[in-house]
Amino acid sequence: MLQRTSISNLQAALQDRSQTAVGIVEDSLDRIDRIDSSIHAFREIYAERALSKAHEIDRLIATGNPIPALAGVPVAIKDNIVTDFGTTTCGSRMLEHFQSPYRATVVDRLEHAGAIIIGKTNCDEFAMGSSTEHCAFGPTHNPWARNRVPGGSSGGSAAAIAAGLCPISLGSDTGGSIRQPAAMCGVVGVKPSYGRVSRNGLVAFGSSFDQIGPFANTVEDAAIVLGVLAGEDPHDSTCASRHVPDYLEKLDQPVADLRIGVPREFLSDHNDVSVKTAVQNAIATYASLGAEIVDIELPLTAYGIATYYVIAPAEASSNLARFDGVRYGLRAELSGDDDLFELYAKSRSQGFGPEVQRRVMLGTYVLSAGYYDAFYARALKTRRLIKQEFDRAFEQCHAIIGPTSPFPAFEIGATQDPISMYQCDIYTTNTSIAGICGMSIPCGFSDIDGQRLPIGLQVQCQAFDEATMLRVAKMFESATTYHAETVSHDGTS
Amino acid sequence: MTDRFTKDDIQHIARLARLQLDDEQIEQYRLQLGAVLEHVQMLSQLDLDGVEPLSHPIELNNRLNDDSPQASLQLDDVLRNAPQLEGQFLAVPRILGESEDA
Repeated sequence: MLQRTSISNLQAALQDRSQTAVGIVEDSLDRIDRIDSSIHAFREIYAERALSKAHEIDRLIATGNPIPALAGVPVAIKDNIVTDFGTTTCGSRMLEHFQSPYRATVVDRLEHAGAIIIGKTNCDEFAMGSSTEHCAFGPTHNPWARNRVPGGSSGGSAAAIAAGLCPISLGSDTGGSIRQPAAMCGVVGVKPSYGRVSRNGLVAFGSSFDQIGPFANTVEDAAIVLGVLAGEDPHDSTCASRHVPDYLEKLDQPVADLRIGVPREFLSDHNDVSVKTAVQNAIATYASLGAEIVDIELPLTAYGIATYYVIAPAEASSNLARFDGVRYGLRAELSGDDDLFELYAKSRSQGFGPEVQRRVMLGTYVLSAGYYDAFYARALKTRRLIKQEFDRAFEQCHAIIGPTSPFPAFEIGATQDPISMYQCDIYTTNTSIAGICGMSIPCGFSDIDGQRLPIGLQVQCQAFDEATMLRVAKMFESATTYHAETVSHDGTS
Repeated sequence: MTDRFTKDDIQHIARLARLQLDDEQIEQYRLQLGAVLEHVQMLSQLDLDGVEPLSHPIELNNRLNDDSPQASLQLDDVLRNAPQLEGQFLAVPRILGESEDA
């Protein structure tokens, strides 16, 4: 079985000719075929194109030329990242038949590195949600417990890794949409710093937050993929021109000389008891590895959700104004005397699901005359305080750890009330508000009703210090076995 | 609180957002948006005097690309997504007319 194999093992197998890229891709497609009907991680599969690209890789290897970093690695792409093949729907009726005329920079970089795009993964509509239930095309199921959510909004990408359907996938994270599903599916998920990875070709949700990042089985694989994705892009002026370090260079350095901060607010009683225990064990693991554990304070943690749910919907309401039924996307049937206003309003009401409508209205309201100062301006000021709070914390420590999500995966249909769903993101929104980097790694399990549910540890570092973040994550992974535990597929694995 | 918004408020916001809602949706959003804003209200506890708003987390400067011609997208690829065309033009309902929305 290749699906849990690391990138470096795949590379070695290609190099010594014990595997072909076609064989690797066929294996991945075969597993999707057998398993994904009960998970629904994928919305669209590119079998023919993927096999043809794999043949190209095999021909390249046969020439004896050096093989690129991700040669033959099957990769799944979240359905809000455009490709110039297939459709990109953002999980929305609005874009059900949308065929992008161009491809995202990240897709280009993956293919240049030899990766094989095998399909698009399901997500909450326009990446708005924490459960991958709010999709026009049905929910994704958690591979560990099919009656539960995989987290969201990049739930399909996380579930694809957990189910062993492919070794790498891409997600996008606006307020936790990579880290939270990574935690709930027991895989590695990285949200890079704001500006680290190009968003050209990512359908915009909250433009001052959105980042693309990888899901993987291991920290090393995530580091390899981040190295391929990161760096300046002339097509995205918000993508930083800063140098991209070699993320593997210091990955295996011990953490004995590092100070690791634990915010007391992250150990609150709101956490599920299994999460609290797992995180306390993780702190003990770091201490046993020789890291200095520093007690820190991030009192504005409690204000993150309120800040985020003003700024992100405001940006979303502006970004989603482009869906007007004129240039692309769904256009409603009009009656004879309908004018342009009805064209917009009917198309948007039919094209957008309830969560998207809710956020667009929320954003419209906080930006509207008379309320701008009370809500939007206030949230932007709080944003500065949150960033300053992180800046001060990083004077005391190199990395901050804590739970990724306050609880493990919940049952599909369990949270009907938007506010309680937004609470999933209590530990992840502030990372995005401050623009720093964060990732989730497996750190334990919660045994509930005979089900084994993964728990995630979040590691955060300063903006553009992904190298330290990955190193801190890698040291935990090397000292534990949580990442090696896999889903059983009843005779199919 | 459930009384932050009236039905008319929600209809006004929906109109600004170019959404058309039925009575059931209006009542649902009235309660849900009210609850979200009730939570958001906690930001008024903070002393924000003299704090500058932060709209982007990282300082970014304008970047200029070389002023050199690049290939643009193929017109056919772009227009294949259009819901209604007249030749190479996007078709829309009448814009100038009697309607006050025009």
